[in-house]
Amino acid sequence: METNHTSPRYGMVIDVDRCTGCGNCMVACAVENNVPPADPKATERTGTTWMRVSKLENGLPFPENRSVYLPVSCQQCDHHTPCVSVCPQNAVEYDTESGIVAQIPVRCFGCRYCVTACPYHARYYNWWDPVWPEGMEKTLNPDVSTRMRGVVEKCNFCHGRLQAARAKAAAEGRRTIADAEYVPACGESCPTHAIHFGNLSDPNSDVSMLSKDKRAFRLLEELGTEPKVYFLSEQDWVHAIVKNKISTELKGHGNG
Amino acid sequence: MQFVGGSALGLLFTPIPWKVLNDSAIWTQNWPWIPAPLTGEFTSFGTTCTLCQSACGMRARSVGKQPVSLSGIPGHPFNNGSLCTAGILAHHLRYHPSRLRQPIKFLPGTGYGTPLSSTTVVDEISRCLNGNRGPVVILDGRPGRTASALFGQLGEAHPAVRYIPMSAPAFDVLHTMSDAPLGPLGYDIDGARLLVNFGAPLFDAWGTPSRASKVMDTRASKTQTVIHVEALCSRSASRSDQWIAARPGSEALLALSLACVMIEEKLYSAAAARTIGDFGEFSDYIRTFSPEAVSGASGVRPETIRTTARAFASQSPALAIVGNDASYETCAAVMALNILAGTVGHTGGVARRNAIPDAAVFPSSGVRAVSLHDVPDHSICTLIIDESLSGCTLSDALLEKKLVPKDATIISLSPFVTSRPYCTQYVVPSTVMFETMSDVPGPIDAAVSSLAVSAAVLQAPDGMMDAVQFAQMLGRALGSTTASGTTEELVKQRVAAIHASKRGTVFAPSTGVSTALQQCASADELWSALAEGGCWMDDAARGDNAPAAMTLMNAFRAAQISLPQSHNVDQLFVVPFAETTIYNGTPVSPLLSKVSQESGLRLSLRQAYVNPATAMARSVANGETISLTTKNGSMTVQAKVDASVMPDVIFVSIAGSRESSVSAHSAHDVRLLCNVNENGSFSSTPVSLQKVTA
Amino acid sequence: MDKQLISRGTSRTPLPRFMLWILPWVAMLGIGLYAIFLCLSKGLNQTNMDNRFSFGLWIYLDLTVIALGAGAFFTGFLLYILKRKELKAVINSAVTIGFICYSGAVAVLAVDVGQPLRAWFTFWHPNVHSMLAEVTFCITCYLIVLIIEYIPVVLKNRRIKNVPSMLVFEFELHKLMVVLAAVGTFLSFFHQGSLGGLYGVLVGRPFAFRPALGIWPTTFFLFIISAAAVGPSFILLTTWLTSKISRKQLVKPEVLQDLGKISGSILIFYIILKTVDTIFWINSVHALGFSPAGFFRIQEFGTWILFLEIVVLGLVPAILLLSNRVRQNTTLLVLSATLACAGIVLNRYVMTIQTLALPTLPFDQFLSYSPSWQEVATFLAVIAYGMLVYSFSFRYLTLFPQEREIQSV
Repeated sequence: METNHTSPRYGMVIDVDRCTGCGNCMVACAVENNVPPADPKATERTGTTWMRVSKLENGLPFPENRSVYLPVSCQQCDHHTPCVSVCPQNAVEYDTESGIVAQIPVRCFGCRYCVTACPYHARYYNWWDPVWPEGMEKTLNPDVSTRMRGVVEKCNFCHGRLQAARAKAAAEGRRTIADAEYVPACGESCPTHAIHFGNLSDPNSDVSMLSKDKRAFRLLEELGTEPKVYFLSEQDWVHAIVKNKISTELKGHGNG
Repeated sequence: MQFVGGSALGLLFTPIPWKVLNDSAIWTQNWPWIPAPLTGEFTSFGTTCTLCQSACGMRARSVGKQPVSLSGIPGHPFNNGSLCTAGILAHHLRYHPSRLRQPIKFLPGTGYGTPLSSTTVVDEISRCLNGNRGPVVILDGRPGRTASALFGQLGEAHPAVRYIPMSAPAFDVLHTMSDAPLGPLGYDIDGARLLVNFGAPLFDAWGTPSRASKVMDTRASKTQTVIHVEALCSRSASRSDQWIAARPGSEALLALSLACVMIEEKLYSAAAARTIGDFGEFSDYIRTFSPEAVSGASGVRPETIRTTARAFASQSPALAIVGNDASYETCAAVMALNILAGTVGHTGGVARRNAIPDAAVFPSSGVRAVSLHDVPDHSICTLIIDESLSGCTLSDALLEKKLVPKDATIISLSPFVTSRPYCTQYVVPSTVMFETMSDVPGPIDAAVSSLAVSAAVLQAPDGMMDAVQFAQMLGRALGSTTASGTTEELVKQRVAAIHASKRGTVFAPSTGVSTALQQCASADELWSALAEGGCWMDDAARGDNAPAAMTLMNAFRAAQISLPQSHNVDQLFVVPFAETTIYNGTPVSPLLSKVSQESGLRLSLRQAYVNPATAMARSVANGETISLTTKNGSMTVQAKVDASVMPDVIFVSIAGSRESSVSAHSAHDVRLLCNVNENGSFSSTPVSLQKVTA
Repeated sequence: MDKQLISRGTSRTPLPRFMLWILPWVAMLGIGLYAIFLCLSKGLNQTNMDNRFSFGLWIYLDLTVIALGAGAFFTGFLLYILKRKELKAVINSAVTIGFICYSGAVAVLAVDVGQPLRAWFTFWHPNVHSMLAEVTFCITCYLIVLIIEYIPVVLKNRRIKNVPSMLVFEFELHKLMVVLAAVGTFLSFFHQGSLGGLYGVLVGRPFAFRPALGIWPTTFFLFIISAAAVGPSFILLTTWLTSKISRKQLVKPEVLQDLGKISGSILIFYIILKTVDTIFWINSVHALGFSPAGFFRIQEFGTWILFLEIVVLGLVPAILLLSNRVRQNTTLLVLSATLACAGIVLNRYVMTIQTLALPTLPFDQFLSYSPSWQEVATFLAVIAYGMLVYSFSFRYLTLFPQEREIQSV
């Protein structure tokens, strides 16, 4: 997966200390990407949430217990992208023009190998056909097609918005788009401005500078997949838990 | 044979097999029954969200007139580009599955409704109102709208009708403590240096959604400190500068204890004390609640109480705020703190707003508004409720207490099927956001009055009324005169009156800046700014606005706060838990399943937080079903083991539920299990817990 | 009619008794087909798989039956390529079992994917880097090979042989056998390996991930060798079982002993490699900053599982099978073969199920999964299908050519 550094590589930096865990990013994402409401039988493990806010706890008992929220979407791995190589029919593509790992649901036959391969659990299989209450299909976003059951989907940094921004720039005779012109729905909806988005290849961009901050970390960095989503936190325990993977993981048996 | 073979080979060079392959590929791209999005050009328009009173400016991206996504308007004085989770999904409400399509009549106890025609329901309501049965009360869950003015007119014109505007419960109590009317109130959070928050979800869509961001931005400059009091480390607690873990139900005691320290150590504002007529009596009353006395019941150390009281007195202006589901006692105690600190009517305190300049069609009487608490119990024969706006939830326990038993009638305007099993109920279907023009008063956490307008872009379904039309219908039924005209005409008259007053500033989304209203050339110009999602903000009330005379014991005699007897240490308590006010009791978009059912980020209905120690002591594992039994009934919930909640307290979600709906008797709502306070709020109730084995 | 179909010189149980025997299998197959219908018409929400446990019982089943079905290719390889003539006694049975295992696995795979109608996209837009594409290619091709290998067995049926053109066809096919065995072996090497690679390439699953030797992760080779090791053991077991159930001696004892010896010698080789691989894995996981012991911290998947797999179900049967004295005792021989097969069944379980149960992110929890009845019924349908095909083949076809000789003696 050669990365062309002259073209943009979009990335995200999420300030964990500012995230209140409200869930705006999750619903704004679902609105933007025509993700349907849950089937009555859906659970935390069968629902579709391209962006999912998870709670990270410091492990101490009440009242010392503290937590932060980590909004986790597709981490847009830049290198050895675990899902791209496993798909038997090229339904996952790494777009060298943007660095975005894109899922092509119409080519997917639902083997779920990529779901198994992704360590971030960022991929979602459609266990049900999508159903909207009568009339609500009128509120669907025309820029994104709906999916049927039996295929896998995931975050693509609101690729539809990138296309729209590119089209607009092209119509105005520009060859590049400014950072402000293209922001995914989650970033736009964040009430505390915890989600920064932009071009990591541009050393002067907001995300580029924040990603080099000493507060920055990435999830499962040591796997070497070079995720393009960074997190920021000033709290030492957050860094400690993220680095100290397995020992804190096996807290107990859970369904969630 | 050769012919067949040759044909087969030849066929491969024709487009036929490839076309068949391609077509089947296209067909398998999507089942024909999967809905496809609308097609058409994107447009966009600005409007104001009406889901709660925060009046967020929002921009809708739409296809034709149909909004397909909503986002906040950057630079808006209230929400500055932010929306809450429910607001982002506001355009789904029009298509909500429980949307009421035609009027419906429920008979008491049945839970089954009979559909009525639009004319029949008007006839029946008319007969009901003129039946000379007894007092009629109109409850307005969101005062300050054009419809509110019409409801007020009904109250003035008809001797049997009383209009009761519902403000925040804490402000209701503050009104009863003041000898003279205080006028509209709001919290000047922006101006406060210290904020002591008794459980309001400050960072979780309690006030304007930009509040969390504003507070975080001030953190760098250390200009504001937030202390949060709650029994669990909620989103708001964990983002505050300090979290005081207090037992649920002890908030009133804790606030009184802070007041006690302020009086003991003479930390109160002397000027404010002089305005309190019964300061001596109050001082005597409050001595019972010393930090040492309260510490046991609240679980807060005496030193913490003293330090907090000293901070509250020294870091002026300090403001104490309280959530909307707080008990009467808590509201009274918290407001007493503000009075003692002398911040009522001051910058950074409880702001006294100027009334909105009103149009000539709505003469304001200046009569002091009555609170629902002041209405005698079991006295209301007919109750009219405007529930056309989401987020205006009224405590059904309180309503039931105020209504004449068995024989009462409720007439409600609601977009959704709501039924109250204890009385006859007419539900008139109402329009929702985007279907009707509406004016929106300002948020609770703003210091000044304001007005914004929500636009009507979509055609309302047949037979739906908005609140103004509902008031006019009631007027006709009662034979009273109300202001006539369409909703838009009436709202425009209000806007014209504001323009004539030349007060305040106007925010125009097109420019993104606020300018003085005086620079606004015409009422039409103001109208067009408001109609595209702008807002008008009044000037701050000038000078010292401290109330002239207060009588605190009015409230405390009613509140009857006492120190609890020491309870069994192993006793469990159950508490109704609304993570954020906006989901409480109002239908929301089904897409909110993303944050609850599909991710567990927030509790769903019939889920409860349980501390790990509490769970372990009863061998309950995460995700298991538990049965809760109080003296009022029992129900089963799913346990979510979480170390951020207080041990021995079970926090049961009330998300998206009403405490009394059709299936009230199957106890799906924890509020039916809880003891009810005087003001209809629910107190923490002793409970026993059994693990349910499958 | 029934009598005329049964091979000359062999006796089979009376038809009513045979009917009674197949009845429960037919019922099981029926329930399974209903479950498959539910899964295909309503979608995979009928299963208990989810976005975290996205591979479940079925993938485990696929990996396991294909490993056990390896007897077909490996026996073919030994017989036709290495000319181990004594294996002719079981080759027909091995081919039948291979055919059952592979066709069953492919059928389950077709249910397991969300959009079976798009399965041909793998051939249309193949991703050559994907282990699953490799698996799909090889399994599809090998299934065709197996069908061609199975056809002569069917054609040798007493009645069909009477049709002259069929006899010619059978003869022509038979000449192909060596080629087919070679192709089959080649394909099998690849897909057994790619099935191992399936999990071995998962960079995001450090528990399963193995560094590459050449272009394939070590599990690629381990799977080939382990499949080759237990394939003969499974043939041994099925032959012994068939013999027990039909109460007939089907092959000479030396054949079973030979199979055991082959199995044992490859198994010992496999266990050595597996041990080396495990040691390397511990080091590489450690280098990544994970604690290898952390993966075994949960009671259900403690280090005992590693011990069970490598020693009790690996080293022990290998040593037993290599001992002459053990092999001469049928009970011990069968027991050792059972242990060897169990070891591979456990290995495939660890690779598929344990890998997914273990958390990867710091806020993940250990996950549990139990299949729904639809998954179990589909699983059992494959077993029922196998029993039926094998029962009919045994009754009407010549699965064990030595049977006639032994009976006539």
